[in-house]
Amino acid sequence: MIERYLKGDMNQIEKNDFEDRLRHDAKLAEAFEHTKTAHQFIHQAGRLDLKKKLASFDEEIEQEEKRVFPMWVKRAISVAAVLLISIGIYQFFIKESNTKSTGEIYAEYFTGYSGPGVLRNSNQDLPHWKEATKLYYEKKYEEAIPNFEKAKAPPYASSFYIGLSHMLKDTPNFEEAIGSFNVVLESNNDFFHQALWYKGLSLLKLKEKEKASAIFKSVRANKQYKFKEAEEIIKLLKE
Amino acid sequence: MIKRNASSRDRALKIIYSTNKQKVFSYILSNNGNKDEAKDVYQEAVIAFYERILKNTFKGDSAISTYLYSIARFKWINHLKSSKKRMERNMEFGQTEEFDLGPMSKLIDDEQKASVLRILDALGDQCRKILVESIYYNVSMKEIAAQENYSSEQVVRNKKYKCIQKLKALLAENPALIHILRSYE
Repeated sequence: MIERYLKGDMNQIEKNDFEDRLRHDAKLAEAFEHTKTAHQFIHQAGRLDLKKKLASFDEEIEQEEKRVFPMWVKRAISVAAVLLISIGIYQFFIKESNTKSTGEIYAEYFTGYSGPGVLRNSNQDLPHWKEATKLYYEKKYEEAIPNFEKAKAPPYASSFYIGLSHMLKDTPNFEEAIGSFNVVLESNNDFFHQALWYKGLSLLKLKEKEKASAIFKSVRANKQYKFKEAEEIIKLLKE
Repeated sequence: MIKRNASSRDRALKIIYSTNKQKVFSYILSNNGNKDEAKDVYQEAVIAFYERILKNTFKGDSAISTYLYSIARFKWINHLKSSKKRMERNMEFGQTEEFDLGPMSKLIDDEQKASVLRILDALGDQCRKILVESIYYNVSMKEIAAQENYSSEQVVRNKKYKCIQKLKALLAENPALIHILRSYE
């Protein structure tokens, strides 16, 4: 979330919400400052990297210029190059392709989901749930899965996070993820709408365009979690 | 935003750099500058231009060559105005287009550069590449995975998270640098 804000990827409503949260949440504000400073550092590092690259171009150009060409050839090449380059650079940098693959749509819209909090029913197998939660926050998704499976949490809660873990682990398994989300979707519960969204994303990754589209239409119709993003994806899948 | 891989980006940058160099060099060399100063100003102009592309603030309403020349001229004139290297002869600066290059447009100076390089060294090459590619150059996770031979985008995301945490820890040991970075706001 912090990174999306710093990159300017939020719409105005999201920005306002986030800025409001920053004003009221001291921990978030502190985390934000640390991340922002890290980004400022990386920008400086990026500039140094780019400057070094440009300096290397100078050396290469000087080597190339040692070859002798008649002046009229140089001028002709320059004029032609400027014309071609202006068109080419515009195409390369400015113009964006309207056709996106399912993988590209997934990459654009996938964001992680925050880790588990406290479950409503206090009669839980807490050690496994706690361990699973800890591993999830540490991004050790492969190890988190068996702990979620052992935890005596409501099936919809365990299955939701198992599904997410299958998507997030180092070697993702989207079929398994969908299997877990289907368990969540069997009943009306706290994670139903989120599971529907992530099932849609998993189908995108499996290049099941039509099935994904059907899921996102349900997300849109429910007008709950990520329904606006679902609308955008439906339009992209039609292109 | 640009999400292109490093080799495509480098090819495009080299073309821009080489095509527009002569005009800027001619201007600076004929206005009391030397070759090293011309190189410096021109490189900073290209960086400023490229960052506008990254931020999507270059609208393409002027030719790239005109734009680069204008930035370079703006930087050079400001340099002459602020430096002690005044004209031996009177020089009309004339009207210059103002450029809002942003608070971070100035490359960090040599003293802080050493601190930045030390931290980059401690961060390691792998982390440096992932962080600079994704955060500075705005390359997608997918492209980074392909260009750096990672097995998946998620692996890159996970590594990026760990690298950011490592960077934050290194920065926490350098409060002076943090102060400098924050002062650029």
